[in-house]
Amino acid sequence: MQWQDPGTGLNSIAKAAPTARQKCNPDVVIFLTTKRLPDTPWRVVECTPMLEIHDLACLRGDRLLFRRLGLSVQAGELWRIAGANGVGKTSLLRLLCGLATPDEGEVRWQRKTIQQERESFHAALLYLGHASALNDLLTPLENLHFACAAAGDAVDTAACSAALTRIGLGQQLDLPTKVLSQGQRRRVGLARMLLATQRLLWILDEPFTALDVAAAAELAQVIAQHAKAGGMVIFTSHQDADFGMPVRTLDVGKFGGAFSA
Amino acid sequence: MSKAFIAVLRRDLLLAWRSRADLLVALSFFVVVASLFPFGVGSDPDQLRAIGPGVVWVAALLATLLALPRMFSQDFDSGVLEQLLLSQEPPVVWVSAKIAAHWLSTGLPLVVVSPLLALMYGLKPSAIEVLALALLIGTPILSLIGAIGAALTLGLRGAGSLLALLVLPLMVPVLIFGAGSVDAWASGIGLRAHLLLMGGGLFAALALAPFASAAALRITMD
Repeated sequence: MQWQDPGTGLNSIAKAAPTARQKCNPDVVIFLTTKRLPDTPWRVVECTPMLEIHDLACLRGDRLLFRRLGLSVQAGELWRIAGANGVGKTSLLRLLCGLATPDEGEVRWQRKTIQQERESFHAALLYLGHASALNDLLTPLENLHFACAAAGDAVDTAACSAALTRIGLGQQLDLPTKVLSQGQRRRVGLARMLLATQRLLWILDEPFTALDVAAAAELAQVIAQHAKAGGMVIFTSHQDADFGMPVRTLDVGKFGGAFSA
Repeated sequence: MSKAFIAVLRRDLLLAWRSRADLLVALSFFVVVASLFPFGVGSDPDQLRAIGPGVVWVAALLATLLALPRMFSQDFDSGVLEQLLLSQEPPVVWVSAKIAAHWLSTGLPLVVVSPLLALMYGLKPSAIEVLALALLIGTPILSLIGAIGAALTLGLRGAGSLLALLVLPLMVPVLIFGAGSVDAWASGIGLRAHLLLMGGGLFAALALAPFASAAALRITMD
């Protein structure tokens, strides 16, 4: 629960909320309410975190990567997962998506564990991992169209080619993906983001890798736009980027295993 | 039919077509293995006619095995499997699509080529029909059982040989009833029992194998 002054306006969470709510399924829990308290100029803003992590621990082999890791993410927030190489950033992101099962603790989406809410959680999730998820024999257009269809989004070919053209792959639409450079492959992932704005939670693993300055700036803008529209973005990055909005940081290293063998 | 099923089926068939050289390797392997036997056992027509159905079946089984590791490995390496696991649709939907695409691109060509090999072994036209029919029912079972093994051995060192060790024993019943159907037909017992058993096996595999493969994939991806 947090107190806020109506004069200075609500923070971005509150502003973002109506948009976020419209985008949700109407049956989902309303996660934000504001009401004026009697006899005060203050309003109370209650926020139910969309994504909550409790007491998470992760083992890799017999090495403890992190433990007692907690985090709660609310609509409109931008989270950067920081930490040195090998500290478990990618493992954490995979746990958040439900690709891996935590050794301890749980991840909750709208107050239910992501295993219980699998379908609605996956409908609201966009995960872009380390691997590009592109097939070399298919064209970028075919890859993108397949990625959308397989995830369950109804996106037609025209929208896919428009997104690819917007991020600068207009010339490469019909080339096999194997001739694309590393940065161009990453841009296909960027196009996937443009087509997934209705998905509330974006989890991005090293999205800035291999992108040139212009593309990195565009990516930062896309991420910030998504957060401002009430979405949530959790990403790992070693680069600094200008999002034009506050970025919260979670340092996985601080939860490092005390008993690493 | 769900969106993910159709998307995965279309993509996998398109990929099979784009990499058709790989599929031709499995098909040529089938033909070559089946053609080796006459060199080993001699060219007595009666003997060849007797071993023909068995040889074609064993060759089909080995050719299926050769193509199995490819079912998931490419998508595992490129990260597509992760994305599919995060799809809204339950994994069993797209796993079924992958198995179907795999059978259409590797199993079905074997069925189509098998009459040619049967002819080489001097089988009668009606026996050739029986053999092709048995293969048509049997090869989907091989793909379905193989999918479980392919999912379990994903990302392991020496996945190919381990896969063979895992799934070959499970494929023995299919081999027995598949090759046996031609003999049963030739000896006048009738096909019914063999085909019904294989049909039953196919439905059991259809009902169970996609779930087992999906569960195996979840475990290997964890």
